[in-house]
Order: sequence, then structure tokens, then C-alpha cells
Amino acid sequence: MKRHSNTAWFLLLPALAIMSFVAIVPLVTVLNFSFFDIFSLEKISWVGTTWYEEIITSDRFHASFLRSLLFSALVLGIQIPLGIWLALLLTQAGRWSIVLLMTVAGPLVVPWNMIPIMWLNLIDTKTGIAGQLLAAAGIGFDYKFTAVHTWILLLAMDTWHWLGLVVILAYAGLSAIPAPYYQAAAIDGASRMAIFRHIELPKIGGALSIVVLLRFVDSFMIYTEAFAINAGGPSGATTFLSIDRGEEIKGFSYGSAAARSMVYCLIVTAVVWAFVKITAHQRQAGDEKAA
Amino acid sequence: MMHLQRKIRAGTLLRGMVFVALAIFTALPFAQTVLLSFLSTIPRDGMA
Repeated sequence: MKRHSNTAWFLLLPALAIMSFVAIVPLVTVLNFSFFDIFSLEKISWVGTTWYEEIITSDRFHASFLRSLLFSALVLGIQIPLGIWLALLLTQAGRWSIVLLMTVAGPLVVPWNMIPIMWLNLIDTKTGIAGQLLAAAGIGFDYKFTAVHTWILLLAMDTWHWLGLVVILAYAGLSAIPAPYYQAAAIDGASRMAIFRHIELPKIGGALSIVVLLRFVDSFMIYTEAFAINAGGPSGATTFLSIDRGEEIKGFSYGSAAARSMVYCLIVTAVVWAFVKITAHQRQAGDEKAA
Repeated sequence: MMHLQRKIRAGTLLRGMVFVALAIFTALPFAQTVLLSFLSTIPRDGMA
């Protein structure tokens, strides 16, 4: 019988050491803070689970949570189908596909804090190209006081920033489908929709699941863009979870902010865990079907 | 045959229009930033 050696586990030590510094230590520190009332590091008092009880019964927190969920749902609902559709079109674009892929990849390298500045300049009615076009068309775009306009602006900005990721990964998945699949579908007289449903979608499923997960987590933690655009306004219409927590930090209520961070972390972890379980289950079901 | 050719041409035209729209949507904020670099003052109104 072959003996197993556990020495390979030692190879994990460097990664574990780094992970403990960048993830575990800060997480435990924040967890510790969440049980205290902290105005400054000199004035700390134990409050137990008070902050958590307050969060559970807080209407403000519930509203922020629902807003974050709605924003993520809209982001996924817009960017995933649009990205797949564009990737499908790009597969027929010939040599132009590379140029267009490079174009959509451009916004991916723009830092978060630059995005709202660029878009506020763009929709400025005096000097912005889009702002002047909208004004000429008689459309009053008031992102400061009209909640729907603020949401449209945030969704446009986020789509501009991240659509390239969906397009590139979907395009990569589509490019890897061998030609015989399409030839077999053509012989069978399959419709365009049937080809997409039974060949393309299953083949790009792996890449898409990663995109969906990344886009969910990223859109759920939106802060910089929403804060720079309207600081959660108008009248709290864009106060997402991260902005809600930011308000606590600005008010020097670090204990409450830490508790909100922990709840926030739990929500994201639960969603990621559910997502991993579902995709693993689907993959297993697919493998069994193929066998 | 003529019908098929017209269909293919319409599809190509539609695809081209989508690509132009995508390129404009992606490039416009960059173009605006470049444009602002030629202005004497940066508009403060509306800036966060």
C-alpha cells in the first residue's frame, strides 16, 4: 500500500501567511470592533451584539440592502445579455473583431475614481458632448435631483466600465467552440436560437458563471461611483449598503460601521457560496448527462 | 436568391450599426476627457 506524505501541505504555508495578513487578520479585527462602541481608540466600550440588533431592525439598512440588490440585478440583467449578444456579433466581424475588442477593453483599465469625473464632464450641459446633445434634444437630464436619472447615470457608467469584461470572456468562450459543432447543427437544420441554446450557451457557461459572480460582487459593493455622483442622493435614492456604512464611518461610529461590514461580508460570502454550490451541481449534472 | 442576399445585406448593415454605436459609447468619455484637456478651464459646476 502506498504511503501518503503530508509534506506538500508545507508548501501552502507562504500562501496561508499572506492570506492571514491580507484577509484573516483584518477580518478578525473588524469582527472585534463590531462588539464595541468606538468613537476613538482611547474611548472604547463593550456593547456586545447591540450593533447587530440595531442593524437587523434598521429600516435604513433594509432599504440600502434592497437598493444594492436591485442595482446588482439591473447590472446583471443589462450587462450579461448585452455582452453575450455583442460577443456573438463580434464572431462574425472578421478582422474588425480585434479592433472592437480592444476598444471595449479600454474602460477596464480606468480607475474607479476617474469614472464619475469622466461621466460628469460628459453630461455637463456647458462643455459635455452628451450633455449638449441631450439639451439640444430637449431632454433635461437632472442627476442631482431626479432619482431615476441618477440611477440611469450609475447604470450607464457601470456598463461602460465593465461591459468589456463580459464581451471579452464570452467572445473567448465562443471562439473556442470547434467548427464541427456548427457543421452538425447545420446538417440537422438547427435554428439560430437552437444553436445558441444547445451549443453556444453550454460552451460559454463556465466563463459566464465567473463573469456573473464577479459582476455581482463588484456591483454589490459599488461605492466610489455612487458617492462621487450624488453621495447617496437624491433623498437617499442611491444610498447603497457601502454608502450606508460610509455614513457610519463619517460619523465616527466605528463599531457600528464594523458590524455593518461584517453583515455585508456575510451576505457576499453567502451569495458566493450558493453560487459555487449551484454551478458545481450543474456541472456534475452536465457530466452525468454526457456520460 | 434575391431575398436571401437582401437579408444578408440587412444583417451586415445592422451589425455595422451596432458596432458603430458600441464604439461611440465606449470612446465618448475618452474623447470628452481629451477635449477638456484643450479647454482653458475645467468646469467645476456639477463636479463632485
